[in-house]
Amino acid sequence: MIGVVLTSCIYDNYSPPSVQFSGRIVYQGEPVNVKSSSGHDVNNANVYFYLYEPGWQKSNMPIRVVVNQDGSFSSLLFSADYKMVIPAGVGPYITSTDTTEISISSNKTMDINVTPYYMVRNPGYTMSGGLVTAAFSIEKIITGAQAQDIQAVYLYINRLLITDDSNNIAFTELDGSSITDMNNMIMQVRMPDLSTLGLGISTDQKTIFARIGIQINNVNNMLYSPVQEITIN
Amino acid sequence: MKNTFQIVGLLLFSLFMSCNDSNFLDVKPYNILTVDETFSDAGTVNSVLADLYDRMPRYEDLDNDGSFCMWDNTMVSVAGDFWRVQFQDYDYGFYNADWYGTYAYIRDLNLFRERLTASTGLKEDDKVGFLAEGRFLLAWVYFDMTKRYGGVPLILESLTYDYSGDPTPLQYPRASEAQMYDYIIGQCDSISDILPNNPSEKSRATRGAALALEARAAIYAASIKKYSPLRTPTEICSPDKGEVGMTQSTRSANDYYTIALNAAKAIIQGGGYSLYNKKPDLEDNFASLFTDKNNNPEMILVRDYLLKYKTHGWTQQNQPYSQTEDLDGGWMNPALNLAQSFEKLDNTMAPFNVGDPNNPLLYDNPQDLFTGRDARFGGTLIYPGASFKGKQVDIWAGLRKPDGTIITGSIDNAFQTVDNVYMQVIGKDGPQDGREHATQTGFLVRKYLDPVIGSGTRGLRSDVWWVYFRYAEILMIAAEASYELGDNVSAANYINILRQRAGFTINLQPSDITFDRIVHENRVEFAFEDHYFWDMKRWRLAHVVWNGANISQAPDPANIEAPSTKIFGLWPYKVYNPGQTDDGKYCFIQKLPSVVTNAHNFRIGSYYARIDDGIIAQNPKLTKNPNQ
Repeated sequence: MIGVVLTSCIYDNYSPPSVQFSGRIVYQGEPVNVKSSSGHDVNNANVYFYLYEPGWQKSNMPIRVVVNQDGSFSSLLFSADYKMVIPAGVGPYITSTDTTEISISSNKTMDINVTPYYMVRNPGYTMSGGLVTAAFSIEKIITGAQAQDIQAVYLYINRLLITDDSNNIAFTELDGSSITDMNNMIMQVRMPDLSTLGLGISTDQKTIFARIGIQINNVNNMLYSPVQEITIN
Repeated sequence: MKNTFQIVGLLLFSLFMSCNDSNFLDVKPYNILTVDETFSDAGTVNSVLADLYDRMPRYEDLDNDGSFCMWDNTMVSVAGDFWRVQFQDYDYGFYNADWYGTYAYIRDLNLFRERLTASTGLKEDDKVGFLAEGRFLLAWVYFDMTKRYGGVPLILESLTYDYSGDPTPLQYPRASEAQMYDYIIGQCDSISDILPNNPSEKSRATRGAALALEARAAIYAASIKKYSPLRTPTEICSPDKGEVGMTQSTRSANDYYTIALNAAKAIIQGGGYSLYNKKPDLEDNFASLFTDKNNNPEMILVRDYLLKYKTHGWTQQNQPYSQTEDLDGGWMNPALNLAQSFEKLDNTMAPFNVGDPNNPLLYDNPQDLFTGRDARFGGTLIYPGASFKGKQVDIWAGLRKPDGTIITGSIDNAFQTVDNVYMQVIGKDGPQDGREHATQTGFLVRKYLDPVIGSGTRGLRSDVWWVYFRYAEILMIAAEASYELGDNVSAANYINILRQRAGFTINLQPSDITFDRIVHENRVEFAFEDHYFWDMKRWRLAHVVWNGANISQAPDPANIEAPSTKIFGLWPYKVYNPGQTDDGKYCFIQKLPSVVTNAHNFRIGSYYARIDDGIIAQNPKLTKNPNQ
């Protein structure tokens, strides 16, 4: 009797998804950095794309693959043929086709090519006397009818690796209309006294993290530069 | 055994054989009413209708304390609700409707109308009236869905599955947001001529209620039409269908403002409603407006309660803890952000004058800080030094020595020995940081708080009604629509009526009326009435005000766009300086309650609630809302 029960259990269960699908959102091989979705369940992520698995009952139900702040993603899946959909209006980029068919039978690494509105180029950070200086340039990638202007550029600093418009201890804002030379941008932000932030945790640290973010007109998600760790000086 | 079976079987068989009277089993049940019977008597139809009224959806709700605490109006002093001030990004679907429950309700409303139409036993007058009420409720529920999701499937007949294996006939696509609003406005407009013009009827649909819903729906449609392209142009589902954002409307924003204004005017002129003005004390008057059920001229439509039968726990949960009638109290802790939005009587907006935190100003009594404010302040909130049920509340956070050091205790242990004198060191209502059931912000809520003895007990609870529509909103809609249509003179006239009731003696001039004024007036008049969030959403101010900025003090009340992402408190302290003139006076210090750990961030994608993947999987004709 017990044997029968156990046997039927084996028949009833599927093995868990085990195939890893990973990669990066890239433009010409360079990852596109976005806002982190840490702390969110997948349904409330900031930047993501969909995988649909056609052919079964709930084929209409998407798997959301969340894009990390460095543009990478990874998802554990069943082996199957998927349709990948990059939803319009999500992410600071556009794609040439919204649907791509991909077959996943074993661990797969794949970069997804997108066209961002802008890219932050050659960011360099220095810190002296508590003042963080960022020097960088901005390249406008999308021109013509689909082009969008810059609403504002931000320089963020944070105590932790996750750094963006929600996660920062200080930032400066430069209005898009005040940009004079996109090839020669300099922004500065002063690090606040960590002990006054009321964070309730140790303020004894040697480095902080800095990042540049671009808010683009009529685009929901901001575009970021890679997070850079800098020594407190 | 075998024989027994055979005998029983034979007996059973013979039983069937003996039933040759075909009506033998066709006995009319005495405890079940058939559909035909129900819909042939006005009394039973009323019972059906009572259930349908009871199920009217709403977001903020007197029995759901947490529903008030998702934004910068108030927090709840209940550990299970602390997450509401601790999350960062709002979920996309945090204000979702119960989708299946709502469509079950819609089906019941459709059945109600169909069965009424088919009924033969009712008097024609009754039937027409009932039908109009059914249409009102349907307009209401679709308005509720549209506020949350934008366009949803607009199903106007009861659907029945035929078990064919093909659900396609039941799958409806989303209507456009414009279609939804046009439907609601059209329905309300036509039933307003059918429903009785009876201002003394508060809990059923009347002409006033239909016009009020029409006005509110039209002002929502107008502001989305106007402000969505300005502030959230990326909120688009599918460009040609217009599920969200009013892109498909054939009417202009001004058309909708005009509809709103006309509907409001139809109530103002000859509707039989007026502002509640029974009490000489204006704070008391504003509070009584919500608790006085006796010939209340202001209420247009309410959700009514009745002691013993249908009650709610608002008073039991939110009564001042120092005078609790039971074990509860002090749940709702309104924010300084809201408190300082109430204007000074000279028509200016300013934070409370507390002085420098290191050298605070001193007041003889705690209530002295709050004098000269809009009477709605004291009518909506209980502030330090205010009274409820004739008894002063006890709100102060501790003793403050001249050098700034604080002596304090806990509410449960409020007396301590200080310099060899046994004395009270904290108010019995708090504020005490992190303590449940006491204020953590320095304020308590007064709106809907029932002064009746026993209403604070778990056994009796309260029957104060919940307001769907009241006359003040009609004036506010008329003011907003007039302003948007460029008629500042009328706007000032409408808004001044409201402000005079709140104690303002200097009228606003037409040149004073701005968009900011309208936003501001709505916030203070309708706090905790399920308006604020939807207003912020329709004006597309939600992502501006709840923008995730890590603010370090309560926002400037004069700036409606100032980030207000965290809830702040204002804590009174008693000066401890024995033998000196300042001993026993009060000072105030702004305080971020320690349970408030994160700044709220309303993402663009939150402007329309998320339709769950499971729902879309069942009906592929539905589209996702943008950015989700």
